[in-house]
Amino acid sequence: MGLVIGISEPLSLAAVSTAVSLILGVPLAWLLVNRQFAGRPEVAIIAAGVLALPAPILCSYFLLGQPPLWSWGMAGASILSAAPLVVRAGRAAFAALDPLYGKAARSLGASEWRVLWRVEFPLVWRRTLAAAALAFARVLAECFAIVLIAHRISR
Amino acid sequence: MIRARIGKKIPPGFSLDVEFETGGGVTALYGPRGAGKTLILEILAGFVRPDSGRILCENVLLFDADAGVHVRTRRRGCTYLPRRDSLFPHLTLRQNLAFAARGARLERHRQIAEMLDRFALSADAPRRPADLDPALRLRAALARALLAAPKLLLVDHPDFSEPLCRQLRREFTGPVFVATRDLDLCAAVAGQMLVLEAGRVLRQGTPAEVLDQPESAAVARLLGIPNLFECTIAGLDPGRNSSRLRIEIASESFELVGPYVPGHFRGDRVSVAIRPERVRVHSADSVEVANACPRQLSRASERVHGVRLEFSGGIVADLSREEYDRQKDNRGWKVELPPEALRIL
Repeated sequence: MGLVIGISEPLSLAAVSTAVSLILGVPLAWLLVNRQFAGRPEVAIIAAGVLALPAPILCSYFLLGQPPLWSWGMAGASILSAAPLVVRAGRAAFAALDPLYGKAARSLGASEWRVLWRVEFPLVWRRTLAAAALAFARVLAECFAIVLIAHRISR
Repeated sequence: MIRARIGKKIPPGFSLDVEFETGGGVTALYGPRGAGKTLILEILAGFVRPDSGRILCENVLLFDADAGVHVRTRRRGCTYLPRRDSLFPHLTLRQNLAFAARGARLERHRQIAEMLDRFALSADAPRRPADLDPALRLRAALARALLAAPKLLLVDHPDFSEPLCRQLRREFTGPVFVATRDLDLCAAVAGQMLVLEAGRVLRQGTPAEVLDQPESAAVARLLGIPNLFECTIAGLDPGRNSSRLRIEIASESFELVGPYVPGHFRGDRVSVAIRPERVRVHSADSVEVANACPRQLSRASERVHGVRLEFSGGIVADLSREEYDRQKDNRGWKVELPPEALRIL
């Protein structure tokens, strides 16, 4: 039973954090490639710099006083761990996309949201999905490490 | 009507500075690579914001640098056909057309079916762009562009041809801008023509006007007129509306009778151009004609519509095949530059 809980919690946490990362990360990646806005370079640096943090979930676990895996703190840490991978891959994918598709779509009267959702995302989803799988694996690996350490501490 | 004054600097070293006014028909932007044709289309479409100027389309202000107006692409109604295939590769042909269609669902279906039918695309509607040949893809892109009911159509595709343009004009009567390097296309379909070089409009007018009166040596060169010579005005006769031009070709000097050159004096240097199809050739032993000089034939080469003869001193003449067959056995050649065909630039 303990083993089942030990597997299901990291799995569900990884799934949720990956889903949230996709929802937030893909539009952010698109914005970073296609839009000029105040603070854009800073956002890009932060998004890439978070990757350099050593094991954010594991660190948060100890910094927050060993909370349960399903807590706000751990959820935030797992999103912090997964999102940069999605943003990074998304940026590369959107930047590699031929801009003429977007131009053609806009000149046909499409809104920015329609351009992203109907034209550009379907052309980059494979690459984004590969990054999401990587993000899922990263969160899962850290969560398993926590489960093992917690198990060891409890004994 | 499109009225535009556009200034735009693109580092390093390119600047666009154009002003033009065109009517409702087809306007051809003609010029070499790097002349600024695509940039003008992208500015009209709203993808690029100019540094200065003003753009009016059918009395609607699209851009005004002074007033800070820049209407976004999606609100301009200027549909753009880029220079490469722009059909969305993940959608079928029908879905591509549906992307541009407007209105209620039934109305959209009717419009799409009608457009597929008009452009003979119905059989290929369920296929994706990758499965279609390039000509079909271009036709589909045009059909999609028309479904968006544009106010202005901007075509930058190099394969845009005369038959396709004629079909387009049957379906769409609004203004069309075509960027091209094909002079035949300009002459065949355009009502207006802008000759561009290095971001400047060198000449504007109907294709017939531009081809007949290039107005400058630069335009003549861009129009591919090979007979372009420097000469000195030896005499002016406003009474007879004529001039005498001293021309030096291959270190040999001779005089030509040309049209009167207003605004110039005796001794001024001018350029004279003549289209190769207007140059006449005769046998060296034929009767004496005005503006003719003996030349040596250096090369005869086949062309689509005839034969091109290149003479010593760089004079080029285009002859029909029948005319060439009649004259090819000439022992010597005399080249005539008819006064009415000479253009003083």
